[in-house]
Amino acid sequence: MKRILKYIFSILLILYIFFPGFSQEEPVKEKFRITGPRIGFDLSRLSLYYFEPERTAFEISVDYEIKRNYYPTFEFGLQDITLEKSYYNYLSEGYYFRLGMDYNFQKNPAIDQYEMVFFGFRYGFSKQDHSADNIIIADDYWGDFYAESIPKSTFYGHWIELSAGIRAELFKNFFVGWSFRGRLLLFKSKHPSIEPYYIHGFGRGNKRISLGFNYSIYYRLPLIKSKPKILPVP
Amino acid sequence: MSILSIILIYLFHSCDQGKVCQDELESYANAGFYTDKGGTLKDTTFEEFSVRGIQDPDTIPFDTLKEKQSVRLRLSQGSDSCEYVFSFAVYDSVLILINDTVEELRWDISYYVEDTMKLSYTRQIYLVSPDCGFSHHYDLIDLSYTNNMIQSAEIAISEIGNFNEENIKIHF
Repeated sequence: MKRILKYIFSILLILYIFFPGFSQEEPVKEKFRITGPRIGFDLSRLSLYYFEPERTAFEISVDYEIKRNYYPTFEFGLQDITLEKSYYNYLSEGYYFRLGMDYNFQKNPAIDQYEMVFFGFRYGFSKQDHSADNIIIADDYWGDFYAESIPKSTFYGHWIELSAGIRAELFKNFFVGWSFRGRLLLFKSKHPSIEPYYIHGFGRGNKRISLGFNYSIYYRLPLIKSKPKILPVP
Repeated sequence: MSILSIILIYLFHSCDQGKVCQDELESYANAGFYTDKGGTLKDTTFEEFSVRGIQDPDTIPFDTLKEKQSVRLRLSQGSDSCEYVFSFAVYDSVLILINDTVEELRWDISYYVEDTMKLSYTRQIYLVSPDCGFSHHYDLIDLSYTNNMIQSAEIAISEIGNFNEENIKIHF
């Protein structure tokens, strides 16, 4: 599975490097503004197989232009962590979501342009089960201690985040974009023995502030065509 | 833009990588030495003194213990109590004679007086950090000791944690 994902990521990288001209395609002139849910897939998660092989993650997103330049956004992800250290093993699996809004600063003059330079905010929530085993506490005086496993427990995390980025239409209804994220942890559940190695969707478990980067491709379902007078340029 | 994205992904992952553990995983109970002179407790100093775990007769002193007013007692990760042997040097005067003439009066260690002390505590395992792994939080609940040199001892602060806090006061 990991090998297949590595190949997919490699192919996507090569395509992206060698065919940047996709984004130079002439936009198709339309009489209507097309709206519909835009479904995104975060490619940056695939890079984890190279950089952090202990993490397996998957993230999709949906946004929708509810009003010209306003995009309510929902992001959902799954993540597994299998960490094998010299003195312990750590396992975690769970999901996360983020809910918020993006605002497009780019005042597109044409009704059929959809590029975005945006700023947004999110509320994030993570739920994960984690456990640890094969715990050895080194003690060179009294002797090493082999601790009992820490059984599976559920962890919750809540945070807010700000995002900024761009989204470009490669060709009709297909988009690509990246965003920077700054996250502030508001609350996390406590356990006397274990802290999450990674708060899914947020970042390192021992940090209150985290930075992130997403790089996604999107497909917009062209469900609704609106006349220009209904969606005037602000 | 494509190259930039790849560089950014690489940088974000690089910054997020684990580091070498730099935290101290061992825990110590800090014990201070006192004598009761004229109703006032004053720190006292032993010229030569050693502490070792009672399980280890080969003696591994915890520290260099010359002229110490306190000692750090290392706690066991694997049991709820530890026993220590405190060994105090007792000096005697020695006359150095050369050709039946007193050449020098010197103080030498004549013998050692030993006391044992047992610390009992509760332990709670916790994750220090992903890079360091696990250790224990300790809470002292009891201590017992022999009275050869030690007059009395008491728990001052039961929670083991702060490096600078004195957990035990030992009176001589």
